[in-house]
Amino acid sequence: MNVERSLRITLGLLSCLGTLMLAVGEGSVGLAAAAIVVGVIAYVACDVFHFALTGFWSNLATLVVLLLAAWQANAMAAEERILAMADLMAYLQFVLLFRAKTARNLWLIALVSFLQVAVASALNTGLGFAVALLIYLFTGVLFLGQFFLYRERRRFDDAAEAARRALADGRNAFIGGAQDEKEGRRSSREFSRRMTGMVVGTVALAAFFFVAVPRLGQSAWMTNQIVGGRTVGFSEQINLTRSGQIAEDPDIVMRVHFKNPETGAPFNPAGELYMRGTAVTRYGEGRWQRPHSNLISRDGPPQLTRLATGRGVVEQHVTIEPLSSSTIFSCYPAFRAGETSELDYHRWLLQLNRSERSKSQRYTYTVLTPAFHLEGEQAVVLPGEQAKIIPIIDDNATADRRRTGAEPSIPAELLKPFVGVASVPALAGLQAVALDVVRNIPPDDVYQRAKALEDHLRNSGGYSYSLTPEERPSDIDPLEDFVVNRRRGHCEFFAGALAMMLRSVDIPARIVLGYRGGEWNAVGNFYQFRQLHAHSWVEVYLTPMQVPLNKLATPDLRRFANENGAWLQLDGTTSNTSADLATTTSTWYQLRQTVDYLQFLWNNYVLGMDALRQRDEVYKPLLNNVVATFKRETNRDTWKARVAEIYETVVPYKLQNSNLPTAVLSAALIVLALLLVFLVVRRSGAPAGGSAAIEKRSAASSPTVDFYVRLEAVLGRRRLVRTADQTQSEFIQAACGELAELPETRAVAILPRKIVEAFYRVRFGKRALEGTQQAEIEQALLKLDAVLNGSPAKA
Amino acid sequence: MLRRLHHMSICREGVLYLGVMAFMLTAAVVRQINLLMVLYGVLAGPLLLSWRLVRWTLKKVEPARQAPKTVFAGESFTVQVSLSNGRKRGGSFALHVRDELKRRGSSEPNVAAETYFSFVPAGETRTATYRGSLKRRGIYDFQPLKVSSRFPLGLLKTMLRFDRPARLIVFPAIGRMSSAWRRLLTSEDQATPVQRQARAALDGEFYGLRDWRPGDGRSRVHWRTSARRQTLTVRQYERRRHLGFALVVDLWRPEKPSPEDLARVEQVVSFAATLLSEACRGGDQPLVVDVIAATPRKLRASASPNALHEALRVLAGVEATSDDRLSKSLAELFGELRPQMGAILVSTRAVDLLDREKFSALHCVPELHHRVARTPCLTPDDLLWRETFAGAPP
Repeated sequence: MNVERSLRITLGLLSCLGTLMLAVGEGSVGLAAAAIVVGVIAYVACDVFHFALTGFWSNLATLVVLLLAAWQANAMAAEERILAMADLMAYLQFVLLFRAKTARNLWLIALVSFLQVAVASALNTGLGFAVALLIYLFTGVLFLGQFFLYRERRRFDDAAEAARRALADGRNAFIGGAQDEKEGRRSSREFSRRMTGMVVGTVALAAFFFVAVPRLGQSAWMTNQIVGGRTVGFSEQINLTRSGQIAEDPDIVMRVHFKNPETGAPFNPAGELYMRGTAVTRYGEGRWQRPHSNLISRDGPPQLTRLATGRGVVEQHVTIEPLSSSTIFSCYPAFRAGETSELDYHRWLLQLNRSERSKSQRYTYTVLTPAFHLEGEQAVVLPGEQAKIIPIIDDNATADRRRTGAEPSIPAELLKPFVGVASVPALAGLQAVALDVVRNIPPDDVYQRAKALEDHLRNSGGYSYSLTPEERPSDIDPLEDFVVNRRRGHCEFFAGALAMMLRSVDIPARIVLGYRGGEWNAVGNFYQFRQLHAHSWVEVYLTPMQVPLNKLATPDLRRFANENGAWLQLDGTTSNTSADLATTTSTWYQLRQTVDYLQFLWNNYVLGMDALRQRDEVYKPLLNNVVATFKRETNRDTWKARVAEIYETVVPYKLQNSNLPTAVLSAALIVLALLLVFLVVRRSGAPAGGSAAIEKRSAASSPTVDFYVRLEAVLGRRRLVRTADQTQSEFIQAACGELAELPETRAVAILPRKIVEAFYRVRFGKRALEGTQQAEIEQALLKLDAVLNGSPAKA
Repeated sequence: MLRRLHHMSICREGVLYLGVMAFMLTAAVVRQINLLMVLYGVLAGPLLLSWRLVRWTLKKVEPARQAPKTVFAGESFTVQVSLSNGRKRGGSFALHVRDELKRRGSSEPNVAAETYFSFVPAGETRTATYRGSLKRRGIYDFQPLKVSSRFPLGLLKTMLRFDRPARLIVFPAIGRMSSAWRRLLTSEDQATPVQRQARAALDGEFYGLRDWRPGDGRSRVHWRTSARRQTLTVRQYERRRHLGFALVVDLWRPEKPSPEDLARVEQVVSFAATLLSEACRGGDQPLVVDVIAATPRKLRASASPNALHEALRVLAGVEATSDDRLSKSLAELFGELRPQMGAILVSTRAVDLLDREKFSALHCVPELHHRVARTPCLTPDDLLWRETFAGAPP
């Protein structure tokens, strides 16, 4: 394995990769290109043609790059000067690549590369950075391993050279040698395998440390990765006049767990979900805005006790990411989950808000809703489907009407700009289309007229969904242009057009902003909503007389609707069915889903890891898992069931009730138990066999043979140790010879021979020593130890 | 073979690495940047894995050493070290084996040697050698073999120690006896009284006459017989080597010896070794060697390679003494010697054996007195020493 050559190539890759990662984070194409070009040139010049910058030229080059970095920093804003520092590291690396590749320079290049990656980690937060980091990790570990081998060899060669000089000077010295056998591909392969194993292990350990190290507070990075375009996402107003390509933002907004509050079991809604945010009612010059209304309850949504029965109520457990708006989302009608609520609730807009302070943090809240038809009783809807009619729960309004006897009033702005006028010139075409759609439906059948208009936009085929902006003339209202001319647009156009068409036929309507659809995660049993799921739809106000009560599941809902009316949910946005099918079944879509999921994991469990998530997603589930496993495994019933299952599997059905299988099973269990006991006892060293065998073994391991062990210990303290290829006799013979050499030990040189003779009698002749013989041996040992080591032999 | 896990330690690079890790962790926690936490994990992984791998690298690795039993001082020798990897899978990279030699009874630092094994595959053995020389004679003990590794990243180091006791005896350096010494041994007429004494100690009794052969010295020519026979005739002596000789080596040094004193001791030992080497090369003759040292040693043998080996072993381990035991030792030795056996005394100090006061024990017995008179005494300062003995080449 040519370590040096491999090392230089790996270092070149490492340095290029580090600078590339930094360049991508900065968005600097020039730096990225320079990294590749300089890396290639440096390798060819220095490693192929053995060019190297001398001290003077490298110092000069260093000075130039310092000045360049200073000039760049001067031109940047204060908060961007860290980029100039990072660029300086890249430039220094370029200079180092052209210097002689000493061990020190190699280490410097690697260190500078790593620092660039550290800076890049503060700039890059995308999934691509994770992939690049993996590649960098592999290259880095490979470099460190090769660098180590290179330095070890150099260290050894330097020591050998020093020894050579010492020998030449006449001093005692030894010149060390490297192994004689040369290794080639075999060692390279094994080395590569070892490094790859290290990378895999590092990834696993990095994941463990990342998850296990406790977080204090929240993550500081949650950047929007799309640059240069408008994003689809929740907004509290609509501006139909904005231009620019709309990019779908895959950032996660919230996750919703639905549960049965009584049993805690997960609830999986059917059909499409609509998570309602807020409503906009005022339209003008292509903009929809919220009304001026102060009907805010600081106590949160109504209490559940308002419902006569809790049947059909579903718990929504929502975790919402930091957003620029304090609006939060729910299926409606919504009820408070506990006695108190820290949410603000707008009764008329049906809007829930969190505090301004909490909107920049990940926030979790629980809201109850009877919006799902759990049992389908008295309702012509599918079980599990979200209700499209939201009764208005307003006790104050109810009390007022009871007192005054008045009917529920229709807010005027729900009919603007058609309030008081038969038509609006700017929307004449729109109104004409609406009138045409509803001409055959009686005017008092508001429900059917609304549904007809919805159907016209959604299913007639005359309108198509597109995020690509259309060139709309500025002198025509955008909604008018959408309905009459360019019938292509996104959900805001569909919702706006539907709302206007409804108002034009005297049906009060408003636009609702929220999220639709979401992604069901079967593993976590939750719905996940991204920014790209943001949606607009329409709500129509139905008076109590106009509400089709048979579409409400429970008496409570019907009661509320009867008192104050209800909001009918309409969604006029056409679905791009063919495109959907194409995307959901194509390989590219599947791949994109996988990447999206990885991106989700990256965003939520890496970038978004904070104390709360760590506690909820890591510590608590782990603890719960451990506790549950412990309880399950220590539960007698669990084991009984397992044994019964094994019994039924093993024993044929016909024999299951007879005594034979029980007897056989019992016998097998007894044999197994005995075998287990035997193995345990044997392993613990207890002797097997009869008393004679025990006695025989005792003779061999009894103190009468222990004296030989002691003899070896005594001699061992004088560095006389028996080697593996020596018998006891040979060893003692050699030891005696050694002892006879020295005058101070000559007198006791004969003693080991006497002791080993006794050993052979006992060990192989199987004759135990008599008492006097044992005493003699003991004396000999003591004397030997006293002479050899100056201390009595330890028993 | 006793094997103990010596210790695992963190290298300097590991300390720096820990510093970078600590910085990364601090920055991640303080700034709440999760990606820095990722980088911290990426740094922590290799360190932890290094800890496991560096221990595993030495698992079931056994060294062995093949070294000579004896060498001469200053002589270059090699020691072969082999490493066996007893594992079934997984080779070991970057292994260092450190071997040390410690001179017995000396406080000098150990002489170390290191061999490097870049890769030892599983189930195989690799060898390396180191070479060098030891300048001083003595008995050297091989210290436990230390096998260490810093694989894979050089952040941690682990070392295993293997007790593999072995001994290396470094014999005194062998010089050469010059031709002057040999001529001195063969020429009666040219000898000074001292030289004659020295020669007499080595020459034997008159045996007979024979024809002159090339190589015979002029001193051996029997002129009367040559004149009568009209051909050169030389005396032939019974080789004293059959009678042997006694060599007394007096290794005396002052209480606080200077480096020069110690150098003299080494010179004397080297001389004795060289002389014995020459004597044993000559063939079978009795030898008596009496070393007056810290631990007096006596050797009686017939000149042979085995005897030389034994003598060199003795000379390798002897240490000088400040006790003056020369008179007593000589009295004992001369009392044991056969009359025909000559004796030579080599000493680190100038000795006048004719000093009756100092060597009264020798002079009071007539036989001993005669022997003393014809026993030459050589010291490193003597002209004869310089003329006849060339020390070992550096």
